[in-house]
Formats: sequence, structure tokens, C-alpha cells
Amino acid sequence: MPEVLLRVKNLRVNFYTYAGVVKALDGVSFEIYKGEAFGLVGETGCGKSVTAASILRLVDKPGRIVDGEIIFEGEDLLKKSEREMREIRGSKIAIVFQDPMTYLNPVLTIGDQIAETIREHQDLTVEALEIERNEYHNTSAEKPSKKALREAVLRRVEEALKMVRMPDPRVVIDQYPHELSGGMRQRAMIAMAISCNPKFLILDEATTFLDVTIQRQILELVKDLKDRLGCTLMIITHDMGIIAETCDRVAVMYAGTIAECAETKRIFSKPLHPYTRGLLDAIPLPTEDVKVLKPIPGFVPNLINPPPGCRFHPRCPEAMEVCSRVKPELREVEPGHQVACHLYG
Amino acid sequence: MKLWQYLIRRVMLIVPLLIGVSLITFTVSHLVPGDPARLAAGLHASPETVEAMRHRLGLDKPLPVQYYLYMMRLLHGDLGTSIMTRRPVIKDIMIRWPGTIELTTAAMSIIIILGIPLGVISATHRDKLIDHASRIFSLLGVSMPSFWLALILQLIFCKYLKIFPVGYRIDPAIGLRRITGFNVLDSLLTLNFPALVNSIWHMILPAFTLGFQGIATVQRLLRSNMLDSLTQDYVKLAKAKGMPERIVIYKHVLRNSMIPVVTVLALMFGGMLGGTFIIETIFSWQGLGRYGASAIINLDFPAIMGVTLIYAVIFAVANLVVDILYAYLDPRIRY
Repeated sequence: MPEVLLRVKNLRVNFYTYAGVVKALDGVSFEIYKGEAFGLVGETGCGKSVTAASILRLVDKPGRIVDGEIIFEGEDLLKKSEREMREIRGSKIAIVFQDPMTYLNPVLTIGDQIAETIREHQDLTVEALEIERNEYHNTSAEKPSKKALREAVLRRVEEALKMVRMPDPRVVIDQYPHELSGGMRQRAMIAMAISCNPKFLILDEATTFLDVTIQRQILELVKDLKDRLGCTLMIITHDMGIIAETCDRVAVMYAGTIAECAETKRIFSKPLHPYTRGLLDAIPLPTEDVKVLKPIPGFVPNLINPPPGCRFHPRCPEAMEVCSRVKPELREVEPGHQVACHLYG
Repeated sequence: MKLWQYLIRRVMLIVPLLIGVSLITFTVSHLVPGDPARLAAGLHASPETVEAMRHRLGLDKPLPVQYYLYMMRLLHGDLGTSIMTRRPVIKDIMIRWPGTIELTTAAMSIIIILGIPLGVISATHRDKLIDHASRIFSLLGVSMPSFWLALILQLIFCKYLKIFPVGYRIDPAIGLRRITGFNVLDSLLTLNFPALVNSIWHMILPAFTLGFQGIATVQRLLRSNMLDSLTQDYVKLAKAKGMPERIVIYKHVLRNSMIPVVTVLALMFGGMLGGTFIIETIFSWQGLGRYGASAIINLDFPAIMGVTLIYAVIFAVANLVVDILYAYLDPRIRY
């Protein structure tokens, strides 16, 4: 049995809006094993990003985590103080967001934005002392000078940029976000995320805003970084293709709940939940002569007044009488394959 | 383009600006009803004396000719002779401009020192008591006319509390050698500390009155900018990187929010130059504003023209400084 790095249990997040209480996450549970690439897939608004924000405890107002546990390395993140959380963010758990143009600060250089993360989380005294000794020939120094510390940070920044294969890292350090291309900006954001060697890296739609060739490069880079840094990945996307290419296991989300969770191969070969099947059927296959796309009928439900019972039942082709009354629990139907559907009760 | 090339271009642009300003002021001030020759000659002068005065002042020539002659003299640094003081306007201005610069600089400093912290506190303590308090303060600021505020402050602090002096730039009993004309600078240069304290003391009330509206404007603008900035994605990323609140606010949010504030500060500087006409008159402050105000009352064309031109130059230079500051704050702007 592989070691569990992150266990999310029965997570509930509500958004208290003027229109009513939006139950954005309604009892989400999943486990992520150490060293794997875990995918979280679903339509827009199904709660993928809220799940990521909850793990970092950065759910914005009017949202609030109302119930559940998020166990990371054996400790419940929801019980930690704000100060303890701040030490975890960016150092143990890092995140890459979707749009590098708006997520990078326009008035700060790339180097500065990476350096502040390193300065906040890493103790570079040893490295700075080494610089003091070797470069400035100051062997008696007990505390590194500011200059040596700055140099040590700068080297780490350059290292991080080299890790993400940024062209001309030394030039990029002094550049501003608007001076870089979309792909370079995303590389810079990844460099920021990996600069403190995180154990857990969340990619929240990290390639959505990029064109397909750049998307491909970034995915290759991420897979490569995962192997080199030995970190665990959580990849959030709405693109089944990205899941197929990069993830070991995947959880399919629907309207704030986990519909199905299994190994990627299994999800594609033997999907159980009618929603998963609908999603896979909606992908046009290049081998078929596609004239009409096969959408899932209906719309994503309003989460202020979600349908009772199974949230998918109004759109489900196989809905039974029980589906509108009882919410199906996420059950393991075969080893490693969980599904929340009354068909498999 | 390099920064110095940009600077040269901007400085050269001041020339057409001045031509425009002079043309407008010249036309408008000559269209104002009233007879400057009569005012200069005196109320009881005979018609012949008034005509002689009119001829001496060159007011009997057609307007375009008068303008042409004026501009020709201007090129030689001659702004004409003031009708009211009977001295060259340029000399009058040289004596008075440091007073105005000193006053507006002090007002600007008060705006920055009070307005920016108030805005930050309001935004970071949104809807808390301190936010409401500072918003009420700024509401008072934008709604109180400055001439009224000046009189009230004089009543409270000069008449009843007797903390501040009523007027003038410095107590005449204190001797201060004039070097630059800036009292604060001169007293520092001559190491005359009683004069330094005294001139700052005289400056506080008029500078506060002049800057009060500005404090309010900056506070409100910065508050709304920061609240907007706080919801931006880059703030989310900064938090996700584990940055402490202090760095998120002062490094990520404040710098982005300051860009529009700087623009407004520049516009405000222009507004304050106009404000000096009132404030300097109320506080008997020896500066260009008071000189300009009495020039207008006495229809002293050369003085009006001179003050307007100098104000245009000061305003243009202030705008240039702000534009350079802008490029420093926002790297997306390059010249």
C-alpha cells in the first residue's frame, strides 16, 4: 500500500452570498499518494479550484470551510494557526495558477517575485557563508553579510529558472511579466512554485490559457520536474486529454462532490459513473467520422438549491427513483475504484 | 527612447504651452471691463492725465500690437512694469515665488504624510471603526470650502487657543538673511534655528488648509484602489506563496494602488496653485497667489500675465516630475 500524503475527508465549503448559501463543496473525500500525479477533473464551477484553495486554506470571503479534515503528512491543516499555514504555503505546498498574466504582479520583476518566496521560507545562511568564504575571501565571518545573502538568493532564483528551462535566466531575472511571452510567464510561475522544493505541487488549470504547443511543453516540464524533485502532483483540469497524458489516478468531480475516483487507465477503460461515461462519450474520437458532438443533456445545477439526492440525477440517463431521494455515498466497488452511484449499491 | 531624450522633448513642449497660455490670458484679461489707465492714474485724475497714462502703458495701441510688443519684451526676460507696485513684474515675482513654492510643497507633504497612511488603514481595516472614522474625516475634507476652513482655523487656533500666528511667513522681529528666498532653506543655511522653527510654525495652518481637500481625495482614492487591488490574482498568488500580510499589503498591493494616486497628486498640484490665491490672501502670505489676487482686483495686466505664465511653468514642471515618477512605479510605461 503506497503512503498517503494528503487525505481530504468530507470537506464542505459554503459561500454565503446575498442570493443564498452556495454549497460549493458538499462532502468531498479523496486521498493522494506520495509521488503520484493525481488528477481532479470536472466542468467549470464543479469545485475543483475551491478544493485547491481549501488545501491551502485560502478560500476567499464570502466562502468558508464549514466541515471536514485535510490531513497533510499526518496533520490536519484545518486545525493549524494562520502563522503555521503561512509557513506551509509556498514551501511544502505550492500552487501554479491558470493565467500567468494576472497572477504575476505587473510592477515587480520576475527575479524579485521568485526571490521573496525563497527569502521567506529558506534559511540560506550556510550558502551565504560559503559565498563569503570562497568569493569574498572573508574566512572569519560568522554571520554572512547582506551582500552574500543577496547573492545566495540570486543563485537560487537562477537555479529555479534553469530548472524550468527558462531561456536566458539571467536576463529574465530583471524583466517584468509584460516583457515575457505566455509560455515564459507560466515557466516563471512554475519556477516560483518549485523554488522551495515543495513536497506537494498543485497545478490549477495551469495550461488552460496556453496554446497547445506551449501546453505540451509545459506538461512535459511538469512531468520531468516531478521526477527530478520527487514531489507529488495534483493536476486540476477540465481536459480529459491532459488527465490521460499526465495522471496516475483521477477523481471526477460533479457539482461539489466526487463522482468517481480510480486509476486513470481504469477510468478510461471502464468508467462506472454515468457522468464519467457521459464525459468520455463527449470527446470526439479521431477514428470516427464525427458529425454531431455528444453532449451531456441539461445544465450544471444551481448550487444554492442543488437537486436533492444525487446531484447528477436530473441529467442522468439511468436515474432511478432512489436517486432523487438518497445521496449516494462514495464506495469502493473494486480495489482502488470508488464511485458514488446507486447503480453500484 | 532614452529618458533624457524624453526629458528634452518635454521641456521643449513647454514653449508652445506658454505661447498658448499667454495668448489666452492676454485676450481674457483685456476683455474684462474696467479701465486700468484710470486705476493707475488715480480716481480723481483729469481725462488728460488718464490719456497720458494710457499712452505710457501702451494701452492705446491695438490688441494684437500690444500682444506682439509684450511677447518681444518677454523674450528678453522683461515682463513689463506692474501698474500697482510700479516695479518690474519680474522683480515682484522673484521676491514672491519662493513663498508659494514653500507653501505648496508643505501642503503636498501634508497630503502625502496624512493621506497615504489614512488610505492604507481604511483599506486594511475595511468597515471597521477606524475606517469609518477616516472616511468621515475625508468627507469633511472634500465638503469644506477652504476659505471657510481657513477662517475657522484662524478663529480657533489663533484667536482662542493662540497656538499659531495669524499671518505672514515669519515673525518680522526675527532677522533672517535672504539667500534663496525659501525661509526654511535660508534658516538652515544660516543655521538660524529660531527662524527655522518660526517659519515652520507660520506655515502649518495655511499649508494644512491648502492640503486638507487633498488629504481627503488621496485617502478615498487609495482606499478604493487598494480594495480593488486586494482582490486581484497576484495578491492570491502572493498569499499562496506564504507571504506575510505586511509584504502582501506594502509590496504587492500598495505599489499597484499608488499609480493612479500619483496622477491625481499631479492634478492636485495644479488645483493647489489656484488655491494659493485664496489661502495666501487670507493668511497674508507673501507669495505669488496673493500678488496675483491683488493684480486681478487692480486690473494690473502685466502682473496678471506674469503670474499666469509662472504658474504655467511650475505646473508643467510638476507634471513632468510626476510622469517620470510614473515610469518608476509602473514598469509597463517606458519612454
